[in-house]
Amino acid sequence: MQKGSNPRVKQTMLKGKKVFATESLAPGKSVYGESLISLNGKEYREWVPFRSKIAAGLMNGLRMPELSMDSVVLYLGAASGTTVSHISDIVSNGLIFAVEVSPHVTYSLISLAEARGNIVPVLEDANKPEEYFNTVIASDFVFQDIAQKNQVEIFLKNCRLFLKQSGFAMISIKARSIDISKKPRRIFEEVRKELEQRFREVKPCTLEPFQKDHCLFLCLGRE
Amino acid sequence: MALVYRHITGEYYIGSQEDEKVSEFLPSSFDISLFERLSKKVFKEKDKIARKGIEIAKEKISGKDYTEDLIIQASGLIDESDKTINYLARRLRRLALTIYPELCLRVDDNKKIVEMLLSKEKEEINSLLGIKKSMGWKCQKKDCEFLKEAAGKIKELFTVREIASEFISEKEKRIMPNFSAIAGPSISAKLLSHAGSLRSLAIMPASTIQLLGAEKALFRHITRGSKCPKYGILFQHPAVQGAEKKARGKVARIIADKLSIAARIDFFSKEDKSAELIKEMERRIKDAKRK
Ligand SMILES: C[S@@+](CC[C@H](N)C(=O)[O-])C[C@H]1O[C@@H](n2cnc3c(N)ncnc32)[C@H](O)[C@@H]1O
Repeated sequence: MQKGSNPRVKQTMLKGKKVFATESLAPGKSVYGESLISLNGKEYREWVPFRSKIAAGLMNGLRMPELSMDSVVLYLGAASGTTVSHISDIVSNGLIFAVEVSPHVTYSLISLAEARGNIVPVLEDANKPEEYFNTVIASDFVFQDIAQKNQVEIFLKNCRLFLKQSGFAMISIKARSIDISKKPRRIFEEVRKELEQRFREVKPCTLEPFQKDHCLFLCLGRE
Repeated sequence: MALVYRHITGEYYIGSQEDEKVSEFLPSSFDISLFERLSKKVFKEKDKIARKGIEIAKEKISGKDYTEDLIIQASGLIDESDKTINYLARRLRRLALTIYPELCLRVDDNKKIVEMLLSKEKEEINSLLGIKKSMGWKCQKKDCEFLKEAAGKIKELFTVREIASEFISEKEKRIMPNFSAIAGPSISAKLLSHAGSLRSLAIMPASTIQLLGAEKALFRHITRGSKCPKYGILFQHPAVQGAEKKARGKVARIIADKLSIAARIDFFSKEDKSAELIKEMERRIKDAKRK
């Protein structure tokens, strides 16, 4: 997130280290074991780059357009809500549609949603966006982290339906889930080409040392 | 002409609701500008969207059938119980060694040693083993009372294991009668765990079923060109175990072929054709061994 914009996400120091943190929408509780930080009388939650790919991207200098407090976000592959919880902090007056297909992890996701009020759990397969067309609305930001072979196709399908014309999107690619026999660098190059056919600008950001062989692609200007 | 978007929170219109022709806004007739306009209206109900979304999610998650998941988890429970039993039994043997050295040396079976320590007195154990003069410590009864307690707790783990095993067989008969008849309840549960669901077993090629559980070796094969594995979990199948070393790959392939058919029948109809499948499988295994 670009600096000086949304006050709910900040860069701060924790135990002598530079970290990103988000102002908690449900103070007093740590969601996944992250530290709670008190800043100017407000409670912030450390955004742990080893646990969240967006935080890893930010640590590596990723410059994402700003999310405002009433932004609408579509999050594909929400799992138990680790990253979703931080997005929920940031878009405090907005909505975040959290799509997740595996039932086991969604129990925590639903509890998180109940504690916060701006998360809509959507228990569907991201490959079938028609199934949630009557739930998810046009979004300012579409993010995907699902580690599937055809994840780029799934991402593009969702962006076509749900990304606002003024919005931006981001996808996290784990080289191994696309093809274990190819070199990550080659896979990332192919993904980038595919994305460039649908977006005006595509900016890659690798996630070492936080996540191995992962790359985020920030996509701006939908076709 | 008016457009209606049916959202979980209600109906939203572009144009007049009273219009004679109202068509539904669908992904197939998609237009992002129109959708943005509709979304703006829907967003005003944001609290309602969140509440309704949670309600629907709860309904959905609690309304599913979790039999497959229970089989997978019960299978995991058995694996963990086995590990724990082995670990604790080793401790128990060490604990009992000075009092029952002969028992510890002669009886390899953990379950048997646990049961003897639990239910029999010292003299009885020694006479069962045919020992006239034991090397064991001549301790008092109260000194080895603790052994009984410990053995009792370990015995309970064997019980957990048995209950889980029975549970698996019974549930598999209902949801995967063909598959479990061919692979046996325990291997079926493990294959199911690796595949994740009966559905994925049903759409998986036989060659993948054959290698389930050999993912690491397969990865080494693809990335570093080491030898391609011939079987994964299916190695434990009695027919593979019973085959000569060089025929094992072929036998595993034949079983996997039949399992692949069985999984499809189980997933789509559940009609029990296991007798035919097994007969055909045994015939092919015999042929393969002859060659
Ligand atoms: C790496 S985890 C996501 C972690 C999460 N983004 C975070 O940072 O907190 C990937 C998740 O994507 C989910 N997933 C995989 N394929 C999916 C699909 N087709 N639709 C929805 N979710 C999917 C998996 O169940 C898993 O929970």
